[in-house]
Amino acid sequence: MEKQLLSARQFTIITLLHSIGTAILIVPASITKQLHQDAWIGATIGVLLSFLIVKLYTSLGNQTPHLTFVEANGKILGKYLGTLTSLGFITLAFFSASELLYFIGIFMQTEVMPETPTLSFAVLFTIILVFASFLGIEVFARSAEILFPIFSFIFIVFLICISPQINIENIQPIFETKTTSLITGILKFMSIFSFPLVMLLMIFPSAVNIPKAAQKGFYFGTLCGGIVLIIIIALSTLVIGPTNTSIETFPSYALAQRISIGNFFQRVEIVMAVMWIISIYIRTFLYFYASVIGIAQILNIKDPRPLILPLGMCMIALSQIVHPNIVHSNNYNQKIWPLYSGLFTVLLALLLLVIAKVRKIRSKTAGDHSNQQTEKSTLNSSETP
Amino acid sequence: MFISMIVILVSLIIAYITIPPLLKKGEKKTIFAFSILLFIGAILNIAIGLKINIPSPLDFITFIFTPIRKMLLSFF
Repeated sequence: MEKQLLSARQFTIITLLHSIGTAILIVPASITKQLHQDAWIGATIGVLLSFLIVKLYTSLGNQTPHLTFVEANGKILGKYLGTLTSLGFITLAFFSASELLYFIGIFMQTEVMPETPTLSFAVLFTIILVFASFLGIEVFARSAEILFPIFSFIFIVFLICISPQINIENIQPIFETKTTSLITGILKFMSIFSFPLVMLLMIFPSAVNIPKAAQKGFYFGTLCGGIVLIIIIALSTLVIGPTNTSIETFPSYALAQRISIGNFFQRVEIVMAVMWIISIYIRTFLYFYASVIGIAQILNIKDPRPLILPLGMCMIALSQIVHPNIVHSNNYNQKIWPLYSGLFTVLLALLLLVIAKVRKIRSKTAGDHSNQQTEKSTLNSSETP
Repeated sequence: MFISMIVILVSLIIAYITIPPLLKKGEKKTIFAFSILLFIGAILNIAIGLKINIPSPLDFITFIFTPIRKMLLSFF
């Protein structure tokens, strides 16, 4: 597979949509269950704390500028231990990819097309993902660039249409939560919002043409994604109230159902659902891409393309068995996911950074690569050598 | 039953498309990884088609992490 490079703007957009991901669909319920009417405060603190995590990821990325996360594992921790941790990371990515397929399937089945089996949604979605992976990260980045204006347009329309129904009494009284539940709520929010940003390390320094600008983009994208999430969480608390938000499975969809302007402009929720279908597509692709590239790099395979189709098949199958029902999924996402993802994203990245600093591992050929990169930045098109 | 037939057909087609060019290049490792993954995928999909109950892999992860979670919660 030839080297494909992204521009800083494309990387920013990918970061933004990736951080929103499934969080837009499931986070309001889980965080409101924990923090009640103070959910938006918890989300704000969570977004601010996420900058520390982004700082960790970018410094790890700068430590190993030409390697992906899996290669960095192998280089820093040695062959055997590195393979073990990479395997943990890849299983995390792959299970999450199939979990997201499960989410999109269950969302479509419960809310939109009740008689269609979830398998068909999983198959249709996987066809898109497999196609995108065959074309590579650069084409995917351009598709993200096209989808981003649609996303922001729908989001702004959503904001304007729902704002007349805001009832400010729903978030009063503020600052009522205890410290322990605030901490757990913030951790759960961050585990869905910012821990998975580690998937971007598969593309961050090695497949970006100007790493310095992309680093700014990493922060900026996280900030924008966080603002979108804070707004969604605050709106669902303000409009449908903390109790109703916490018992809904998909609060943002319930929020979109409330849109009604003059009893004329209503029932537009499925147009609003395009918003999270876009963001879930971006996130699922990154998980899937990370697992494909990761498996290829563990096995030292140069061209990972032959692995895409069988992995797609495995992902369809896993999406059907990964959660037998929504209770299982809620339990897993509330209790186990923060630990599991925290171990293989934040703690692993921290460990790698510390060991790399101690062992003073840096890639040598930084100079000639940056020359090549500046040439590349002016092109910013599909022409790859 | 119908799903399983389609799965077998699709996996045969995938193998037919992918393996000959790899054989030409002589990439044995890729063929090996490809076949194993395709085999796992096909088996899982056939089992789903036949409505066989497969335990979720996340149950295993839950089994590992539940004691850790209990230990962490005891600190609070």
